[in-house]
Amino acid sequence: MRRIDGRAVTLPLDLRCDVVIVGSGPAGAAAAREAARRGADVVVVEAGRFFEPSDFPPSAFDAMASMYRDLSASVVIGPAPLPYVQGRMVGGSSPINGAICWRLPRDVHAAWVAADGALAEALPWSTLEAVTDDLEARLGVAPTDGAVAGPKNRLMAIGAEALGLAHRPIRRNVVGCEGLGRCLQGCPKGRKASVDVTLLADAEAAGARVLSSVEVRVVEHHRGRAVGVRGRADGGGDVTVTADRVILAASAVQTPALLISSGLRQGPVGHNFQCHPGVSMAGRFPQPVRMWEGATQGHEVIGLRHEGLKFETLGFGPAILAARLPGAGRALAARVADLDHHLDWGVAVKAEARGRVRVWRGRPIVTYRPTRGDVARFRRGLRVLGEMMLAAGADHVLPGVRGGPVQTDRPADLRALERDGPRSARAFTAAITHMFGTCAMASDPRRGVVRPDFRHHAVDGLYVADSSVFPTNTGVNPQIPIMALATLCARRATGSAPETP
Amino acid sequence: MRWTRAELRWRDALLDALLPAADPLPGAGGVDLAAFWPRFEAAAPAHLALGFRAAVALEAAVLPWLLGYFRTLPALSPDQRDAVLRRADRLPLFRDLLEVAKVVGCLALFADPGVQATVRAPR
Repeated sequence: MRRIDGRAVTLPLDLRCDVVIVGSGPAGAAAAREAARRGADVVVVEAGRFFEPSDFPPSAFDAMASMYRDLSASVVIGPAPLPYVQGRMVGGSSPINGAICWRLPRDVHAAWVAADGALAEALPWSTLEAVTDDLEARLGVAPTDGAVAGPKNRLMAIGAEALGLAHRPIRRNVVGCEGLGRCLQGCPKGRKASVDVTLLADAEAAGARVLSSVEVRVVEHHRGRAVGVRGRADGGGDVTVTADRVILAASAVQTPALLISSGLRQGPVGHNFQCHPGVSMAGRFPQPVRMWEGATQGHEVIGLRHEGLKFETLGFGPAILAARLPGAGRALAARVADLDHHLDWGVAVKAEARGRVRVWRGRPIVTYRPTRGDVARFRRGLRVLGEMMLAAGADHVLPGVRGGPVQTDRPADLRALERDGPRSARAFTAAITHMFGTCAMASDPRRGVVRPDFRHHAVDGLYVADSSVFPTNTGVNPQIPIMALATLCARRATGSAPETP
Repeated sequence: MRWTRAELRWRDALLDALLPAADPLPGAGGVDLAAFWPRFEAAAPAHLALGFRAAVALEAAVLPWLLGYFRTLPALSPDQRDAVLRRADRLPLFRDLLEVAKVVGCLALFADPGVQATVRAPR
């Protein structure tokens, strides 16, 4: 049996395999595919459950309640309680993300190698490129088709063009998109080539078993060697998977928490938490724009990436857009009744701040404080977003900044917001996406949790494959680089050199 | 912990005042949220559930007294309720809690199939 549903596991379950992988998101699925194809007997353990496209609900609340961790309301602890979003289902966040695909930027790779020369050999650029080519082909990555872009994406192109900023249709892992705008709730037509229906399916075809609805609680280790994992099925049964090698791929929050909970505190585990906090600008247009229609996230502005700013259209459903609008009572209701004229665009910031993941009562706790430079990028990003919206024909924009204008149609107000706006992150409507660095890869065990070949510095047979090994954040959407590095991790874990095709 | 009857009245009055009806949409008070609340309580993490409960108590029971109405939100007229929320939107702490209530209220309102159909219908 290839799939075991933990909701039906009521009695103790013991499995044996060559490689057990914790997590089935982009990292876990890519690692499973590679390890299974190389002949390893693989078991993937996932805390969430399987979903079929027919299970994906139309309401944002139902989606968040069933497929997102903590109702999408996990927050970091710090001066600004920023929410961070994680999926909790087979495929991780992949079935419910915006499907945005970027290759690992060359400048980011160069910075990693400059900081630790051993990474040049462990992560050869040519190998990463070849692995990425293979992944993109499997996932059908292609620029968003203009026929399904919808007004929100076309308007960003107009605004960016007017400001002279480089922009382009977003490259996405979708095949035959109909522009339903439902990516963040799961595509009901099954058009997203998310990892559950691509890489994980490949792994299953090569013999991998997938154990869903099982929360791994401990990495078992004995005399300096990992020997498996132990957890609890949603059905109540205790689950033990004994394995020669353990690959952790549970995310930059869950993986360090699992290591800490397992007593593996060697190195800076949980430190160096990095992310891409984002702020958004809402705007009102004279014509209906119906933000919930068209490709969920179909256009991006890349001309200010050198400043650590990347702009994207956003694809919330009506509920989240309504909650983003300012005011309360009749003022809010009037805006909500006019919802189809409003849209929201975002900017992801390559933040310089470092946070930390700790464990409290068995749950991960993230502490994080954006720096003054990060907050300056929030202000700069909002100014550019507002200027783009006005250039695209918006009646007015709604910055969502306390201490700033509630709404404005004057570029001068946006310039003043950048120059004189709040210095505290708390003043901004912000959220965190893409998290990195909490089990960083480094040749020096004082600076990293895993070696450049993904092996834990202190425990044999233990590997980390997810974005927690990234030495820094990337400034771009990381799902493809995560899959690429996880593929190399699986090659190492199965005894192959990284460049072995 | 179960909500008291008074808390439930405060909650419903707060959402009704926060998201009143505005053509073409019904307000939060105009849709049946009976199916929403058990699902919300089952899915919400502790900090969100606690934050929402605090928002209900402070916005609907404490703030009207602080503003001199000497009654709780359910006993106020629609104009008075709107005035309370306009003030809440400008006061530290109350503004933060109002944001929590707003998110929950919008999720509840748009979870209603009729509201979804109205919003997504071509106009």
